Amino acid sequence: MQVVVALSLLNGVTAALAPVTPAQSVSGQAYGALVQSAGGTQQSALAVLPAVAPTEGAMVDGDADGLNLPGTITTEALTGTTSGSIGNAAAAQSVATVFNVNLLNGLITASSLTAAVSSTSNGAQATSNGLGSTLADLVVNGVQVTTFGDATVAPNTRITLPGVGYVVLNEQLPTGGVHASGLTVNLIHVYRQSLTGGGCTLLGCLPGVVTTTGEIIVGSAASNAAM
Amino acid sequence: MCRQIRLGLVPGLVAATLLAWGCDRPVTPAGPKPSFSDGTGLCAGGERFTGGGRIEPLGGTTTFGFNVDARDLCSSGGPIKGQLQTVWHPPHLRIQSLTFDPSSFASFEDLDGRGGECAFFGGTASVKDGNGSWRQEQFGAIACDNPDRFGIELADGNTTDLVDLTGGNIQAH
Repeated sequence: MQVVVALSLLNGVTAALAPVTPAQSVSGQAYGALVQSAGGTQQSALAVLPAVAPTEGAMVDGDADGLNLPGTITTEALTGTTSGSIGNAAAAQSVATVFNVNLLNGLITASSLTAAVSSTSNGAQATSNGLGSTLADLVVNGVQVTTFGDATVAPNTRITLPGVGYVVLNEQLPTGGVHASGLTVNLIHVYRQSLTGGGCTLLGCLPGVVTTTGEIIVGSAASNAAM
Repeated sequence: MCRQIRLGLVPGLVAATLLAWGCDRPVTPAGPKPSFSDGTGLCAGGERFTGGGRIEPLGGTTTFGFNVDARDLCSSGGPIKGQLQTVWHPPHLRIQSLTFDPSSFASFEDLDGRGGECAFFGGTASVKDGNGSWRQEQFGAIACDNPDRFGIELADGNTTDLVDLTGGNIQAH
């Protein structure tokens, strides 16, 4: 009897220590542009992958002729596409394209941009990448960032925008582990900041606090796969 | 050997495909009639294909996403379910599928000597040049998994040919 009890306990411990395999799943999202401010949020050409059942697949696309918020953003055509499937592997991929981008009255311009991400998981290994994410003729604050047309920018390149805040180019946000992997690529992510508070009195000076008051994202693609 | 596949998909998608395929494989006119479900016929390379990403054909970047499910066709000759969007930039040509033609579907293993599985599919799409008006055209597309390749052609002659992906992924099931 003692042996049986011991074995039962051992089985329980073994089960508790066994790695938890995530359920098979894929997800994805892509959009052309997002503008977030105190006045609200505007998003263009959004595509969100619906829940995909095992042994199924899906694709969703978003499309717009342009986006025009004077002083903030003007673009020509925007598209977002995301697709995913589950079978012998789980795979998701998303693409966003935007043409003739002009942000903040010419502070940032690009003739076109493409954000591309993909994630796959076969149960033993999960990977994601942002290969194919490029910006064409990108100019930031008067400085030509990509020359000779379409080119890649180093991931998470941060550039200060005087009087505005800063921009992160090819922002890459990975998630996941062994069985699941995800990646979000935001090709242009502007963080608008302002200084609040602070000031000096007879007793001394207090520093102000820099707060993010708005964001502009152009060309965003995300994918996740787990198996 | 005919490694470079010109699409020539619309119309006569499968016929053109089989012609290219035949460059690497001897034609056997007296062979058995292709079947839908025995794994050796028109669905030999798989029944479901999903993908998205970009290619760099001559003349400009093309981005795409698609999902094609031919299980009903492969098992009983039923319809194809799916969606496709392609953007050819420049000239900012957008293609969005409306319907898929079951007679245009075929899938193969090792289509051109490079291994993997390829699917051919086509149908009718909405097409728009820049800010012009949407119009309808027939389209045909090829997608291959491992190595991942994609190509699309419109009835008006616009074609990317079949080229390797420079980003994204294609998955055959």
